[in-house]
Amino acid sequence: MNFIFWLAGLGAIAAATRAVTHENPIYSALWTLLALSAVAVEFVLLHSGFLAAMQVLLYAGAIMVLFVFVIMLLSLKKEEHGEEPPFATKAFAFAVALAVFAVLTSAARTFPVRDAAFPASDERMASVAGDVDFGSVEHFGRFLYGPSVVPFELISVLLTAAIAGVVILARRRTPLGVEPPVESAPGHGQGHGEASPAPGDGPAETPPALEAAPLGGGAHT
Amino acid sequence: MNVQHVLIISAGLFSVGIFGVLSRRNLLIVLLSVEIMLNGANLALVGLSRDLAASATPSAAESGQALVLFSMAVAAAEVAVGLSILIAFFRHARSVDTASPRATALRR
Repeated sequence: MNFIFWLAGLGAIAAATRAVTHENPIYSALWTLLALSAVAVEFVLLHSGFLAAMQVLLYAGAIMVLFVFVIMLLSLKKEEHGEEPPFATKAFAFAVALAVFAVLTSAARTFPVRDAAFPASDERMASVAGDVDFGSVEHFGRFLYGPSVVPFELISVLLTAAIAGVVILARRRTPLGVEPPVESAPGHGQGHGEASPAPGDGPAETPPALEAAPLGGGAHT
Repeated sequence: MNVQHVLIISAGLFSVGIFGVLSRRNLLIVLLSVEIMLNGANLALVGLSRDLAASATPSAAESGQALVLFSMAVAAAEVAVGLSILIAFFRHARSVDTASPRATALRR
C-alpha cells in the first residue's frame, strides 16, 4: 500500500515533469496521460473509487482526447512548435516553481496528522459512512443528490455556457458560401495560389491579405 | 503515508505545472501544464477529505470529493474554451508560439 502510494505519487510527478519539458506536444499529452492515471491510482488509495473512475473517464478520456484531437488538427510543423525560451526564463521559472514547492511543503509540514498512517485507519473508514463504503458510488451519490444537489445541477449551466462560448469562438465570421469583401489590394489577393489554395475555405480565417501581401507583392514586381 | 505526504505530492504536481506555464512558449503545453496544476489541487482535496473522514467527527467529509468532481467539470469546460481560443489564435498567428511575431501584432 505504502509502496504503491509512493510509486504512483512520484511517478505522477516524474511523468508531469517530462510532459512539461518535452519538445513535441503529442508526447507531452501522452506523458500527461500517464500522470493523470497515476493520480487516479492515488485516488483509489485515498478511498475515492468513484473519483478515480471519473478521473479516468473525464480527464484521461474526454479532456486528453480533446487535446490530442486539437494537436492532430493543427498538425504543427517543427518550426511552429514555439521557440525554446532563453535559459534565463527557464531558470526564473524553475526558481518560482521551487519557491512555491518550498512554501507549500512547509505549510503541509505543519498540518496536524490525525492518524500517523492511513492504512491504520482503513478499518475505521469502512464504517464511517454507515453501511456503505466511504467514497463508493452509492455513498458519493447520496451526498451528491442530497446536500450538494444545487451546485451539481449548476454544473449543467456551466457546461452549456462553455458550449455556447466555444461555438461563438469557432464560428465563421461570414455566412457559409458568401465571399467576404476583400479589404485590401485585390491585385495581391489573386497571387498564384500559395496563400489560399481553396478559395471556398479562405473566409473563415483572418484576412488572407495579411499573409499574401509580402509574398504576392514580391512575385508581381 | 499520511495526509502530509499526500499534500507534499500534490504540491509537487502543482509546482511542476507552474514550471511548465512559466517556461514554455508552446500554447498547447501551457494548457497541459494548467491541467497538471488542477490535478495537484484535486489530489490535495481528496487527501484532506479522506483525512477528515478518518477523524473523530467525520462531518461532511464527502464535500471534498464533491468539490473535486465540480473542479473536474470546470476543467472540462476550461479545456473546451481554452482549446478553441488556441485554434482562433493559431488561425490568426499561424503558430502556437506565445511570442510569435504575429501574436505580438495582436496587441496593436
